[in-house]
Amino acid sequence: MEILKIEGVSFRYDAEWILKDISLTIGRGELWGILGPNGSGKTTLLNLIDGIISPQKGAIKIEGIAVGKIQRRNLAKLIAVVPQETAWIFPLTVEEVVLMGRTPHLGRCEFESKQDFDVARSAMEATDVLGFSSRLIQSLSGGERQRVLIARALAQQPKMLLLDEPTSSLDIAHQIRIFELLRRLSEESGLTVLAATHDMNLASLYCNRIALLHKGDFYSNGTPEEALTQKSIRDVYGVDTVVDRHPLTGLPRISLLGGHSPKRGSRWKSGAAPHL
Amino acid sequence: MILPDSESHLTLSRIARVSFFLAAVLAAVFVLALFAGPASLSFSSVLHELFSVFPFSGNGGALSESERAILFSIRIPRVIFAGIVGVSLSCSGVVFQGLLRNPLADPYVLGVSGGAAAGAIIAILCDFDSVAFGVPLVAFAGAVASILLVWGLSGPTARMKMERVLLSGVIVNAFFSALIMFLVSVIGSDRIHNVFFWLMGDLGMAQGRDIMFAALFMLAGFIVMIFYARDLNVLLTGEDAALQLGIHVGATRMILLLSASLVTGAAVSMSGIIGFVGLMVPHIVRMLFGSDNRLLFPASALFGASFLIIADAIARSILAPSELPVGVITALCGAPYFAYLMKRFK
Repeated sequence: MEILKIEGVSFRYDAEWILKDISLTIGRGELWGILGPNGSGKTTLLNLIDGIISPQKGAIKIEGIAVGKIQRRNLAKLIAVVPQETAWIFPLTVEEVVLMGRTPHLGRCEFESKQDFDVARSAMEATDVLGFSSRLIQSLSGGERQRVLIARALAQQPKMLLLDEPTSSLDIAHQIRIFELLRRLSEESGLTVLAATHDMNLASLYCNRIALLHKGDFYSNGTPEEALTQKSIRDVYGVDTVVDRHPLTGLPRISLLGGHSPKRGSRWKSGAAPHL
Repeated sequence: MILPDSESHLTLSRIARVSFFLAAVLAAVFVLALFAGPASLSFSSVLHELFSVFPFSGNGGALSESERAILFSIRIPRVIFAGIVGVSLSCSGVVFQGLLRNPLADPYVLGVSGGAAAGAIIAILCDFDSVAFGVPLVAFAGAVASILLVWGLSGPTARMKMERVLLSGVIVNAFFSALIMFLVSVIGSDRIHNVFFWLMGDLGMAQGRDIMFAALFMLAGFIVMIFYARDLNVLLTGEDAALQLGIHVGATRMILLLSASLVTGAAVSMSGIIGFVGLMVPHIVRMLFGSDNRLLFPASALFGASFLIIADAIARSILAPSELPVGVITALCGAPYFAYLMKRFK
C-alpha cells in the first residue's frame, strides 16, 4: 500500500534544475535509503517531501493529498524530519527537546498532558535516551544527540520519518544502532522511513529499498540488489568498486579497490564479481 | 540564589510557583527601594503611609507634607517606572536572543536604541524638554523609524532571513551612532549633561503619563510574547525544525520582532539607553530556571523588574545627593553577578 507518491517532480532554486522530472512510489512501512553523490539532490528531495520547498513541476502526494495543500500543523503529524545538524545555543534538556515533538498535537496555550509525557517517554525508550533525559543536550555526544532528535521525531507520532544523513558523524557502533532502530521502527511500528545516506553498505544491509540519485534523477531504484551494482556505482559516483554478496545475508557488499584496479580475467572473473 | 524547585517537566504549577517566588522578591525590593535617595524617610512611617492607602488602616501617616510628596510623586512613580523598563528590556531580550538564535543579542541589536537616542538628542537640542511628552515622543519616533528602516532593508517580510535582519540592525545602529556622535560634538556644553544621562539611562525623567504609556506597551507586548512562547521554544532549534513541527515561522517571527521592538522603543524613549539588563537577565534566568520560554518570559519579567529597581536605588543613593546614570550600575553590579553564576552553573 502506497503512502507517498512523487509524480514527475522538477525543482530548481535558480536557472539550474536540481531535480528533473522524478517519479517514485513509496509503500507504507518501507525503509528507503536515498543515495547519491554530494549535490545530487538528496536533501532537496527530502525538503520537497516535507513541504519546506515546493516543486515547480509535478506533485508530491501523501496518502493521495498534495503536500502543499496540507496545513503545516497537520503535515507535522504525518511527517517528522531528523535534520542533519542542529546548532544548540541555549541550554535545553533532552526531555524538553523531545517534548517539542508534541507541538503539532497541542493547542496554543495548552500544556503537555500525561499522555504527551507518556508518548515522549516511550520515544526516549525506543531510542535509548531515557537514561539521560534530564541532561543538557549540549553535554551529549554526537550519537546521543542524533538519537535525541530521532526521539523528538518519534514523539510527533508521524507516519513517515525523513532523516538527512543520520549517521554521517557517528562511529560504526552508533551507525549500526541507528539503522537497527530504523529497521525496528519500520518493521514493528509500520513507520515509513526515508534516510539520505552516503554509506552504501549500511543502506544495503538495512534498507528494503534504495533509490540512487544521479544529477537530479533516479539512476536506479528498487531492492539493494537492483539498485547497487558495480555499473550503477561507477556511473553515478565515477568510482570502481567490487560488488559481491555479503557472506551471511547475501545482500550486495560494496568493496572499494583502494588503488588496486582489478584485472579483467583475473581472480575476479570467476565467482563473486560477475559484471566486471 | 535559591531555586524553588528542580523538577524536570514544565507545568503550569511550576510556572506559578516560580512566579510567586519572584513576585515576592519583587515586592520586597519595591518597598526597600522607596528608602533610597537623598531625603531619608523613616521605615515605620513609610509602611504606615503605604498601608493607609488601604481603607482598613485608619489614621493618617506620620510623614510630613514634603515627605509625602517625595514618597508619592517622586519615589513611587520612579520605582514603578524602573520596574516597567526592567520588564520591557528583559522580555525583549528573551525574544531577540531566541529569534536571532544569538546569545549576544539584546533589545538594542536592531538599532532601536540608536534611533531613539538620535531622536532624543535632537529633541533636547531643540529645547523640547519643556514641552509635554516632547523628548520621549521624538525619541519614540526615532525608535519606530529605525524599526521601519531595518524592516525595509531586510527585504520582503515573509521571506526575511534572520542574518539579513541582524545585518540591517547593525547598519542602522552604526548610522545612528555616527549621527549621535555628530550631534554630541556640536552640542552646547549646557546641554551635554542631559544628553550624557540620556545615553547612559536615567529613570528620573519619566512623568506619570509617560509611565502609563510605557506600561501599556509593556503589557500588550508581554501578552503577545506569552502567547507565542512555545513557538519561540521550537524556533530555538532552528527555523526549518520549527516549520517541520508545524509552526508558521514567518508570521510568528514578524509578530514577535515587531512587539519586542515596540516595547523596547517605548521603554527606551523614556528611560534612555540602559544597557546590560536586556542582555544578561535572560541568561541569568535561563541558568536558574531553564530555557523554556513559557517560564522564561514571566520569570525574566519579574527578575528584570527587581534587578533594575535595585540598580536604580543604588544609582540614586551611592553618591547622594547627586545621582549616577543607572546604566553604570546595571553593568557594574550585573557583570560580576553574571560571572559568578556562569562559574557556578557552568
